[in-house]
Formats: sequence, C-alpha cells, structure tokens
Amino acid sequence: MKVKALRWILFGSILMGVIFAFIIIHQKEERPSYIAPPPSKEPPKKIVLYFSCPEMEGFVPESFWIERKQDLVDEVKLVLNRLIEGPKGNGLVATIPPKTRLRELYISKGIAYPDFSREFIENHWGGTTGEIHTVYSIVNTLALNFEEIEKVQLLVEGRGIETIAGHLDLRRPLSPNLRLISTR
Amino acid sequence: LDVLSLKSESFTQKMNLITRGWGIAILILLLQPSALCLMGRYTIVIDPGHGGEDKGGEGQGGSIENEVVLSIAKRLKYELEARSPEVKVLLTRNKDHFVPIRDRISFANSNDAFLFLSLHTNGGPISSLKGFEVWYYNEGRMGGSRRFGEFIQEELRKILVDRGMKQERFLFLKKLKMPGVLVEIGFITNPLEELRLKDKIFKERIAHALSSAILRYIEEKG
Repeated sequence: MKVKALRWILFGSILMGVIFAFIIIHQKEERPSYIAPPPSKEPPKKIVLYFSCPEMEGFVPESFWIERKQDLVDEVKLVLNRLIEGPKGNGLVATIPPKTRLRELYISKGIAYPDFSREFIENHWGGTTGEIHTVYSIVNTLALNFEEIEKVQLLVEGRGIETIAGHLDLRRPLSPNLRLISTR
Repeated sequence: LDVLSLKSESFTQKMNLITRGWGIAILILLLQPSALCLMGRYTIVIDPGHGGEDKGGEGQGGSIENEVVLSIAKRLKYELEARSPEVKVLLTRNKDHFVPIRDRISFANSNDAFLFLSLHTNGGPISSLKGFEVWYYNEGRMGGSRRFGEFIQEELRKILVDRGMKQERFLFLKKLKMPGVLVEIGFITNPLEELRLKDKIFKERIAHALSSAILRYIEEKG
C-alpha cells in the first residue's frame, strides 16, 4: 500500500514538473523580443541671461529656450556663446568685451571653468563697474541656470587670472551675486 | 578770460591754504613746543591706481586712467598737507610705473597708515555712463571704511553725480589694516567726463573734495 502511494506521489511530482516547465518555456516564447525604447525627448530648457541695464546699476534678465543636449558641457557652451553675442532686447548692454571667443569649457566638482580668448582682457573697457558686470554676468548666468554649477572660475588662454582690469580678485572661484539682479 | 580768472582764483586759494595751514602750525609751535610731535601724526596713503604697462581704462579722447589718477593724487597730497600740518601723505607711486597691488597694501600697512584711499576712473561698454562710486571691501575687518566712504560721498556729490557706495571682494582692500576705500572718480569712457578729468581746475576741485572728506574723518575719529 505504501509503495503504491509513493508511486502516485512520484508520478504526480513528475507531472507537475513537466507542466511547470512547459508553462515557463511557453511564456518565454510568447515574450516579445527587446526593443530599445525611443529616446525620451526632454522638453526645452528656459535659460536666463544676465545683461547690464543701461545705467549699469545691475542686471536685467533676458530669457531664451534651448533644446536639451546629451552633454552638460555642450549646453553650457551654447549658453555662454549666446551671452557673448550680447542682448537681443532693446536698451540692454553687453557685458563681454568685443571679439572675445570661448576657447573651451570644463566642469568639475560643481565648478565651471570657462576659458576665454585674450580679447577678454585686451578689449575690456576697464573700471570697477565694467569689471564687476563682466564677471558676474558670466557667474550668475552659469550658476543660476545649471544646478550642477555652484561656482565659476574664469580662465584666459588656458590659465587662471588674477584680475581683468585690476580690481576684482579672480584667483578663486566666485559664487553668484544676487544683489546685482534688478527686478525691473 | 573766465578761465584765466578761475586759474588765478585757484592759485590764490592755494596760497591762502598754505599760508593759513603753516601759519597755524608756527603759531602752535610758538605757544607750545610739544606740538611739534603732533606734526604729520596722521599718515594717509593715497594710491593712484594702475601704472606703467597697466594703463587702466582709456577714453575716446586719448586720456589714460593711470595718468589721470596720478595727477589727482599729487594734487591731493599737496592740498592735504597744506591744509593740515598734522597730516603726512604718502603716495604708492609718484610716477608712471607699475606697482604690484600687494606692494601697495604692504606699503600702507608698514607705514601704519591712518587711512588708505585708492583712486581710479571708471569704465563701461557705453559712453553715457557718468558719476562717481565709492567701493569698500569689508567693514567688519577694517572698521571705519564705510564712514570714510560716507564723507567722500558727501564731498564729491557737490561736483559729480553720486552712483552710491558699494561693497565687493576686491583684490587688495581685504589685507589692509586700516580703513580704506576705492573711489571711481567719473567715467573716463564718457567723453564729457573725460573732458572734465582733463581740466586742471576740475582736478583741483576733486582734490579739494577728497581732502575735505579725509580731514572730516580725522576730526571725527582721530
């Protein structure tokens, strides 16, 4: 009697195993082959550029939209080049000296290092006000638009600089200056 | 004729200042010989910005910042020492040559200056900007800079548009051991202000205003 029961249990177990294996194999066959999902297109990002007001008492924001890029550095370069081009709005004043080019840009540990051509210093108009507006239009634009950037250290021709026009201390990275932003 | 009369008036003013200043000094010495030790007891360091290869800003009419501020600094030294025998003025440079900023600061610190005043002219990308600005680095560390700046504002306001007193992280002011400010005396990039900055009489008026501010500060804090 015992042997008969054991046979039934063994038979039942084998049958269950076969059914289970069949189901698994069948499921695998029915599963659709993997297709890479289409790249999720992020919505455009709003960027605020900081240009000087006509009296150069502070900055007036000018905004525009950019298509998102895979690489943060490419996005920041695009924004900086737009800042170099100057304002589109009437009455606002450019902050970057004429003929300045962005040579390169590095980002590391929350600090952005834009590297400008020598015209950044050679063509600068001088003066404390002029220097402060040039520096903080860059620092504010980068640090207030990109959460990955906290501070900005300016480079010219690949090297760190002490100052642009002999007033501001540019030997260390700078944080944004919110006092200069006008509410106009 | 107007210019001539203004020039002769300014010359008379200068002579009066010298006569009055030194007259008082001699009188004090006659009455109390110990007053001799009071002479030149306040050292004021005047720093004409830039110099040499560092020309600073440049106007459309050819004016160069380092020359303009040196000329004003020399007049200010002359005026201050003439107005008060208690004041001794030292310039961080007295000709057109380059002086590193750290040397200017150590010069003021090593001479145990009572006040430090850096002279500059402002600049901007558009020519309509005008007026003067007073800048300081840190009121807490240097205690008195802001008050000194207020006196400068009150005096310069009589001849130039006041763009206010501002604070920023300057390359040099932070290491000063005494109250110190930087004054931007008008925009050299504004053709009208550049013309005024070329004028000797206008420079004398600026020197007079700045010397009044320094003497007022000494009177209050000295």
